[in-house]
Amino acid sequence: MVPMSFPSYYTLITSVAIALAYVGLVQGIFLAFRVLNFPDLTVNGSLPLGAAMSILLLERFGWGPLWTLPLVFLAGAAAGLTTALLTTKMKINGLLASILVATGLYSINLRLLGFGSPAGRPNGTLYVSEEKGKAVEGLLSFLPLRDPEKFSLVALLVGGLLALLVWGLLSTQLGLAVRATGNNEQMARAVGIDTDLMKIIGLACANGLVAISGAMLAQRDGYASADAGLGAIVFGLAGLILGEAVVRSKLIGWAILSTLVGSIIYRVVLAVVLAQNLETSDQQLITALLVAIALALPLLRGRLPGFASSRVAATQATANDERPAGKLEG
Amino acid sequence: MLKLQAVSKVFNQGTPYAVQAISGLSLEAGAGEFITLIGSNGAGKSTMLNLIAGLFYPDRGRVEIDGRDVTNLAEHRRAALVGRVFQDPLLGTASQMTVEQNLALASVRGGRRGLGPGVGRKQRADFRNLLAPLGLGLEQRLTTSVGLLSGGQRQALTLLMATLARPAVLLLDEHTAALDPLTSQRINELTVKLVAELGLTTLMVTHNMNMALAMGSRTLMMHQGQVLMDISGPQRATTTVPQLIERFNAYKQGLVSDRMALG
Repeated sequence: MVPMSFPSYYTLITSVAIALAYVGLVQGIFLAFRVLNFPDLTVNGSLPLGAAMSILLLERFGWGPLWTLPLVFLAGAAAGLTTALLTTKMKINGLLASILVATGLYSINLRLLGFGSPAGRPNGTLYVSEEKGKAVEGLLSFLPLRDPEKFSLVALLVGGLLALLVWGLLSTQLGLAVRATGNNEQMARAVGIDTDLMKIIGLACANGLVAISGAMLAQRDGYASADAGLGAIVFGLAGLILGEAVVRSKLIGWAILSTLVGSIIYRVVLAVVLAQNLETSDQQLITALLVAIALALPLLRGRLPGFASSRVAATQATANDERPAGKLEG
Repeated sequence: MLKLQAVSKVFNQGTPYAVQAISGLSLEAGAGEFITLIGSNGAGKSTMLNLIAGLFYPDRGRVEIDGRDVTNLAEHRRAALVGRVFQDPLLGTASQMTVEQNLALASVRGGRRGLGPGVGRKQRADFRNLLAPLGLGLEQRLTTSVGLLSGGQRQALTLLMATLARPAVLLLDEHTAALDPLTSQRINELTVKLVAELGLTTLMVTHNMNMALAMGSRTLMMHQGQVLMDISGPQRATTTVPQLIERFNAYKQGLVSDRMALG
């Protein structure tokens, strides 16, 4: 047997830091995919949009890192709003509408990055210069950017706050209306819910959260890149699905908590796997495999010999169309 | 009170598949009147209900509910005036949400939905009192996901949701057709009770001729987008199911001979 190598403490705490920065992305995807039942690929554009906005404000205008987040949220919300308007008012297929917006955002992100760079031309990446990095330190900052412990603490506070906010909002009358829209649109309209408006509100919030996530990742890295959105949707789904596989309650509060848990599990598993003499560039393949396994788990539970006791539960879960895996309740 | 004036609706207009679903239909229903609606498949019964509910708008004519012109009013905007129960028990409720959340959604029908708590404490007590008389034990299961309830339980809940905010018009589209005979009967009893208690103007589509004559106070037969028979009072009281079926077949055969003549 090949001995397994373990990642160092530094690698692990860095994984946790990144995971916590990704919580906004997972929550945004949770809102779009699970609550609204809308496959929203806008996130591939709104994640780097958040990154670009934040580093632009930080580098060019000297804003403190945390102070950039409200504006970053609004930028992401505008992206989600555009997708929602295209699909509700222009009747463009939802998936296509979100791909269109994400594609358009790629150019906008390059413009933002170019606007912030000294040369004033887009070149795809914008670094926080050393002097600016020092200057903004202390303004409610989580710089130094590469201190994973300090960063984790701040990211946990931000992620936890966002989770509480999402939970609170989904429990209001308005939140129930958003959930009903995603669950049964016909019924929602029958009880007088403006389902178009609910999709607009939901997708705007979802992409606002994703943009905040992009901003925090960029602040940790010390730069923003237009390519940060590549595969964002899969990274987010990985966190979401792993979280659901572990926290198996479908009550809404637990489902939101699972975004935190899933995000951390995903990054730690990734760190452990990558420690086995693999390259960082193998991350995409590993993520894809992880998501596939997590999705197949309910079925495997009934088939594999070691899982015999849960065979009945798995059969029931498959038989009951009303409650497919991953749908939430309560 | 409900008023349809010379309403027409064509689907797929301008294509070879054009269907005249409703043609120049007029109908007036007084406050608290309970009308049963029969007719073969494609007669336009569901189209008429959908025009009243606002799923789509008529090409011609006017729809009035409670004296208000709602002809081109969006579906969600007229929801305060219209309560609906569908044939499929799964359509009327949100399966991933709890019993109390579903009721709460229906209780603000047509009103503003703000950032107040989704289900209030006082509301919860009201819901319990509302559910207890059903005898289904739902008052003990307020926080159960609706997806875990039976079809009959869901349909009873949908009926409560449709009448909770006391709509001006209640539309029932074969709402017991998918249920077993016993459950179907219980839902019918509940329907009659709620309609009488709240004095709701009601339109009920059914394929059951017995039900069509036994429930409500007026029966309409539709054919090719028009009302061909409209009976109430003594005339309805003396009409039997065989007579109704005879007229039903007469219309259908009329259609067949027309087609043959054209061919």
